[in-house]
Amino acid sequence: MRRWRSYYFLVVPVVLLVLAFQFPPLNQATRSLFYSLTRPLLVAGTGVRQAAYNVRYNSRNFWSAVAKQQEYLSRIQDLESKLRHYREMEKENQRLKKLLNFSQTPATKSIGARVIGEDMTPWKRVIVLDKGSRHGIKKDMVLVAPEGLVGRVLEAEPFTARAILLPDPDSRVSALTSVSRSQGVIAGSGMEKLRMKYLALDTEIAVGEEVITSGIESLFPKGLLIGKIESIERDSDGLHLLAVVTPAVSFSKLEEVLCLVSSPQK
Amino acid sequence: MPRLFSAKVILYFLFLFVLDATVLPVFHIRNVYPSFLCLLICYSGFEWGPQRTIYVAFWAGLLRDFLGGGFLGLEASLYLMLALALNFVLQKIEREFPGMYFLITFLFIFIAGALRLLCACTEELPAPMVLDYLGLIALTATYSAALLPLFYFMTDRWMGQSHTKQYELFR
Repeated sequence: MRRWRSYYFLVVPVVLLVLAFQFPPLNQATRSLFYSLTRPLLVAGTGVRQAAYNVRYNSRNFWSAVAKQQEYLSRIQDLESKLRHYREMEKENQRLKKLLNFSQTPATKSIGARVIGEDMTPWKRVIVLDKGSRHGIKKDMVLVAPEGLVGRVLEAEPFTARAILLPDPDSRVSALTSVSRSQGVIAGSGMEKLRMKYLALDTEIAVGEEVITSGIESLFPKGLLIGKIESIERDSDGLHLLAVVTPAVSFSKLEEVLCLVSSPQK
Repeated sequence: MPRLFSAKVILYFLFLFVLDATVLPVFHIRNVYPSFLCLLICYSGFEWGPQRTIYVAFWAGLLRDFLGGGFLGLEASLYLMLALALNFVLQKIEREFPGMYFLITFLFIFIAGALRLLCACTEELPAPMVLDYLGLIALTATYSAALLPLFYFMTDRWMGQSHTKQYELFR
């Protein structure tokens, strides 16, 4: 009898697999229950994560920060003067918009969320957030960081949410280059770099050019920074150009994200 | 050897799950980070015997299933099958040379990752990237296997086990 016990255990996951395949809501409900139960543990784990993060990154950065202090002080002064200039430009822009009778875009509302878990599959880039539908997070909401676009919400459980990041192979974002205004699709590859596909062969894009969201599909608002073009090559099909894009956001160092409730375009 | 359904083991499972999900990703090297849950399966195979390894593999796989976005039971099935294979291999080979532990752990994690990749190929994965993904899996397996001595130390401390035979490095 004991010999057969191992076979029972072989049957259990197979039955689970069949049930999950046949009844996706059951799959979703079980996962939702699991996340509700383990959320306190994962949130507690983020404390340790933060400590580990500090050990790994901040201790190494301390001495270089001391060395760069003077340089940063002069840059801050420079940026402050630019900021004053931009404020003036913004006021002027608003006045001109009113003159042209443009509709004023609504202010962007966002919800801050902390990363409490990551998918363990090496090529997947899916994260777990500490806020869910009870906090106002919904499926397909856009995630941003101060540096730029991060991804979107895949599923919102009551107390947690799962989000797909740009480098995930399943991630697609309609994008355009900031200077030449060439349109393409940003696709993840599972690696650090992103790929901008379907660029026309006669496109005049340059290495170092910024890539932003095009806002063509309704999901991502226009103008969010995605990254910079690192290299350009001909696609394997020979009909398009393919650009390798360095993302603006450092996904491996992602700790908190902002979830856009209402985007400027909507 | 602890009872598998004791609070100590269950808590250790949860502790490793939290480590895998939140803390270990911080220590990534080129987007690759180790998995202590996989190491627990290998540890169980090395130290606790075949019967327990199957249970450990099932629960470790299920926890990884919950964290991933795929179908529930996929990784549980994979790890269960690999645990059966691991048990078979461990009965057949000599393990006096410590490098065998590294090799077996590396192969276990690499094959698990490769099978997972095979399952993911039904999804929309760019075909030219498959070799790169295999590279990632190999790196993950190497990184995890390299942490085996640390994992042994940690697990032995948690379970209150001690190995006094100095000539056997990992036992």
